[in-house]
Amino acid sequence: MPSRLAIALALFAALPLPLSAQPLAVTDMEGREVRLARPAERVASIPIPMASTLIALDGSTRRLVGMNPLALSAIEEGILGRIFPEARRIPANIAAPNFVPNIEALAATRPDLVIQWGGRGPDIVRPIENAGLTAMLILYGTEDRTRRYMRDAATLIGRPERIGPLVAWREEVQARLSAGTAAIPPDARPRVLYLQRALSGLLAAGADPEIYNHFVIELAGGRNAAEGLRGFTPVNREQIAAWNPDVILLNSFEDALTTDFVLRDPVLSLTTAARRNAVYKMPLGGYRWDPPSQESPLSWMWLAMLLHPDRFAFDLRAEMRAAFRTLYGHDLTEAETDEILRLGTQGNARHYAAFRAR
Amino acid sequence: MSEAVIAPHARSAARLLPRTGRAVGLGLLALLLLTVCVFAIGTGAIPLSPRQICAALLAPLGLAETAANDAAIVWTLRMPRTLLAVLVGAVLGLAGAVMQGLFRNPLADPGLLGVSAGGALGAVAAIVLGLPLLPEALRPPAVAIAAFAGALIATLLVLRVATTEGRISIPMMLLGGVATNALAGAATGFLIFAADDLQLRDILFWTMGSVAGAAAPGLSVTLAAALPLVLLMGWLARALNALILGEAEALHLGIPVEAAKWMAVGTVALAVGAAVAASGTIGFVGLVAPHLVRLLGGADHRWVLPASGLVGAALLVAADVVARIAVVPAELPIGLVTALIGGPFFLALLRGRRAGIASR
Repeated sequence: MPSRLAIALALFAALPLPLSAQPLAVTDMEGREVRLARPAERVASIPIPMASTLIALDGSTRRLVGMNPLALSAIEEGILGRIFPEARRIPANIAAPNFVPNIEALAATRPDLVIQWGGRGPDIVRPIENAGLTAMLILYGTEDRTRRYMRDAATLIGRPERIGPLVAWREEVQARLSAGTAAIPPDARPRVLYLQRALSGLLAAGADPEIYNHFVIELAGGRNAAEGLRGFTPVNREQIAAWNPDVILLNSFEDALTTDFVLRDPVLSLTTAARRNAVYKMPLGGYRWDPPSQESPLSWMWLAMLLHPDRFAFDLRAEMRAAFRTLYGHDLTEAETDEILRLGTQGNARHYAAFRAR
Repeated sequence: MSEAVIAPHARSAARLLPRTGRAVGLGLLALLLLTVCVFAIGTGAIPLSPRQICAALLAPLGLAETAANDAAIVWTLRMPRTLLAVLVGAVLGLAGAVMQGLFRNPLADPGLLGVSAGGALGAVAAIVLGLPLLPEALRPPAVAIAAFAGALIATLLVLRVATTEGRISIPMMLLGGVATNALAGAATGFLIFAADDLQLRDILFWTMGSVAGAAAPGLSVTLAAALPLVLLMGWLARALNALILGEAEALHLGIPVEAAKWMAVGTVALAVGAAVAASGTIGFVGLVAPHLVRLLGGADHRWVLPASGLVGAALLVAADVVARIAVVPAELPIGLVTALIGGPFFLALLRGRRAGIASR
């Protein structure tokens, strides 16, 4: 079966391409007009997830001239650093981890375009504008916003032809999951808890439409176990025992976090999730699978297969190979696929056998 | 130290409780603490009836049958955090009373020694600078050890400023404490500025305090560090009573004044340093508990010290209950609760005292 992404790509390859020498303009997510005389050849990216997204939108690291130090460590930790070894040499001193730009280092990269967070006040934006650089501001956290900033960035780097297939892929997988779960009555939807932090204080993702993990849980046919919670909020272990989730998802941010955190805890091990061995650490691909990224549809399919193995039988490994080919021009090996899915550490978890190489 | 500051203490020191009165008062406070603890162990996200709690408590002795869930909730969650709240609250209350006695200033608290600010700096430095280099299993103890080290280093700095030829100057210690606090605060501010989003989360949990992470190792270390202060309490009480009259007068009464100052500072720094390392910085308990106690039974340190420990413990256990149930299903940092309740309470106390003074 050809992958969904491959079909979408073939469809969009037939569309006419715009001339890339024309001036470009987008209204960014803070409502600012961003104009470039020609497509940005040199892009500096301060938000952490944006570096890997830019690499995916361009299919190379060619235009990325600077990034957040934490974006670099995510690249070095994950598979992206092996696919694009040259990414390790891209300057990561253009901003502090807290997104405050280092203007001299930033200017030294001679960027045509600087991507920065919106919604965090003018203090991290004005220095960029005052240095005469062009800034595009992005907002994060929901599926709509993800599509929007991917589209804006693709436009400004002169690769609008790349965005169509990626968005079409997202729409296609989303529609398929929605259709496949529509008939499931509420009480047949597993109650899923996502912990954004575990090792140093528990932070649970609330049942909040602004929270991406909540959106993904619902899309995959689950119910968020953290009812009555907004945002990412500190909770205690007794509260988790009171919710008694059917499935627990652990974040991919905390390197040393493993499912043992739940399975060996005297209280958390008594939850239904732990007793059924339905505790999973989110995969780490080209970027982490828990926040939104260019790889999100893979993450949605992964969760849908774990929550409703009777309804969804994707060939996730084939989908991953196709996506990595398109996004990064890389042919995933079986070993790399195992590593991304963490088969070595959680291969025995409930319903995880579906992800093994056949 | 001005006369006006000393005066209220000296006045109420005249009202010495008789030995039996002290014993009855302390007994009542111990009963209050026990009641608050029973309430704390009975409160949480999972509703447990008194019968279930009793069964869970007695189960390890083989005296009752209980569900595994109930036993885990009571023994691994509610009991340790209640015990840690008792321990930390008692240390803060007792240390606050010792500091107020030593400085002869009702606004003194253990923070004046730089213990809290130094502890915060140690922990934040570990989170921002050290943790990425360490294996994950070592990170929580590393933060606690760094906090403890920071607390002691800050105290040593204050002592160094305040000491000439082995004698501690109390006014110099006060000024040194203010300067050390400012310095530690600025360094912490810089580290917070340099921290990333995830580290900020850690720092926030840490600087606002929590007893949620209570476990046996932290409890026993804190208990061990608090022991010298508790064991010396009776001796310190007599020394502080004499110091109310002034250092020269205390010497005439046969009190080894310098030794008393060193003992007070040393035991307080050790105990509060460990408390900060176990639960983060928790404000107001050390300030409010001794004031409450003096309102209840006068300023005799033989009463004020143990009673402040009991009241501090009861206050912190109660604050932890509020932290757990105020915004269910989320949980508030306990330092926020003590500040939110302690701040207005303290203002009301001051206002009442001013009205009292005005009417004389």
